[in-house]
Amino acid sequence: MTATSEMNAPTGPQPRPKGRRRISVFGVLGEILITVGVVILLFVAWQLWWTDIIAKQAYNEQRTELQQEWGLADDFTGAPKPVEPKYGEAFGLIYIPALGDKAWGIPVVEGTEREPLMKGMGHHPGTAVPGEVGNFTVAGHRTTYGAPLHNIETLKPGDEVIIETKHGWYVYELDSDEIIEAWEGWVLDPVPGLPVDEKPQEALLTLYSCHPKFSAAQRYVWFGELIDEYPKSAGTPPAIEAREAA
Amino acid sequence: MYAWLWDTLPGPTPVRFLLLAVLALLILALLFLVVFPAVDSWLPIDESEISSASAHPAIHSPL
Repeated sequence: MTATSEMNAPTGPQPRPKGRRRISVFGVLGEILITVGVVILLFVAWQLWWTDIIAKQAYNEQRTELQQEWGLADDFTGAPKPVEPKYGEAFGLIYIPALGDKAWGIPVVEGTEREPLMKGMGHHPGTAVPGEVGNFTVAGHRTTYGAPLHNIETLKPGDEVIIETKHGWYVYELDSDEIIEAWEGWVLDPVPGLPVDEKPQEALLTLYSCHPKFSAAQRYVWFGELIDEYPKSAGTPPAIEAREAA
Repeated sequence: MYAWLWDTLPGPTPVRFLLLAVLALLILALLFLVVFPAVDSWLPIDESEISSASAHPAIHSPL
């Protein structure tokens, strides 16, 4: 009798350190907080790394689709016709030689909201199309979804922005940049800086992205103008040929 | 919480490790493919459509 009760004694009243653990409110709270922290870090990783992979796949798909469609128009010899963009669809490719691979052959999609910008750079609906008199306005991501304009601040006056459409090449030259607040819609005007009803005389370009990096507080804007346009049958812009050959 | 999870998982230690790894991967996939894209679309930073007060068009935010 006494022997068995002595043997049972240690396991009976004392809490067992192993097996069933005591649940402490602070312990669980701590674990939850750590978990939330890890999930937030994962979200940042997703934004900066995963969206980049997804976007590059989307860019490639759009580009291949466009080039297949364009292949049928190889024999086109007339003056390039202005494009007629449909919302959410790519109508051209953009090349910014000074930005290297990041901004090389990126699809230009109609629309600047979230969805179009996941597939390429966005043309602001209602603004001029490539080559048209007025202001051709394009937006691109700075830090997420492929970030084609990640290094927009390194561009210099004189750098070229080249647009390829089904029938033509359009070469724009940058001339000035500006950092603006997010609400400053004047940069999209037919002639930026002049009254909104000013009749445009030239084909201009507005290229913009978020600023500063990793924020959406402001916009980094480049202005430029069309310096050259020609049909595809007339050849490839030298800047494109040089880079493709290299 | 995690202690409870560990105790609840069946089998010897290596099996539990394997189960934990599978579980973690599943949760990661759920986060990356479903939760994060959804959260991203709710965040104002990616699509703040800011209408200007004037006749100018709205300018979007390409983060």
